[in-house]
Amino acid sequence: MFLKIASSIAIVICCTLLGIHMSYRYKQRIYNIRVLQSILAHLETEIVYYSTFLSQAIRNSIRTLDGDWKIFFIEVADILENRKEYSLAEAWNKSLKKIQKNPCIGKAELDIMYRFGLQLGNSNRQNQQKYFEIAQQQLKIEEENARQLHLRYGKMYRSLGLLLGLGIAIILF
Amino acid sequence: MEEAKVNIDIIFKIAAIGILVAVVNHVLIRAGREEIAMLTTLTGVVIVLLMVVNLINDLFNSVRSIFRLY
Repeated sequence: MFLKIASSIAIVICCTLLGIHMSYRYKQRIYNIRVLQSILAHLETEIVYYSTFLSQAIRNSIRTLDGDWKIFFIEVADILENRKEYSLAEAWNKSLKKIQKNPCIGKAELDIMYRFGLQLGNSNRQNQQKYFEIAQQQLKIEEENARQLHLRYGKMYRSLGLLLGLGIAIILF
Repeated sequence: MEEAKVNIDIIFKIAAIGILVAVVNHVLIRAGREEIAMLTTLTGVVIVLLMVVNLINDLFNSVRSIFRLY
């Protein structure tokens, strides 16, 4: 009897944690988008006003920030410095593929960054600034979307986790 | 006496599943996922049916033996 109760409690706790983890993804996605926005703002300053080399500009931009996009930018800077690929677009795409499976990063942001990477370093300063502005605007829209998804599904996954745990425990009891 | 106890247990279990399915249904409909809410309801019905299918069999056997319908 004791074993039965203990295992039921364990099932309920595990499922609740699973639900909390699922809802955490939505929260983390909003945070990642916000970090990405500030990285891009920083990168814009580095490129448009300081004219730093891109790999160094990227390293300067991500120095104080964290989040899942940091891995991507570090990867891009590494590839550029080691000259593993021929162009920035290749380095960019290769690094994007690496973080594609991260559940805390939405497909929309990946798409925005993919298109942004195709334009980066292809034109003069004013034009580059325009591309940065476009990317920022799109990211702002995505942040709003992510916030709405979080409000809608975050709570749902949390309660569903607990309820699923209770259901399994009752059926197996 | 043992039989009766088992039946009472199963009734409580079914009641608990019913309450849970109702709550899950409510949560899913509030989140705007009606089709998955429908699916959960169906799953609940199927699980309860699987649990009571033996009892229904017993009931039919009893009815047959009481009214001599062999």
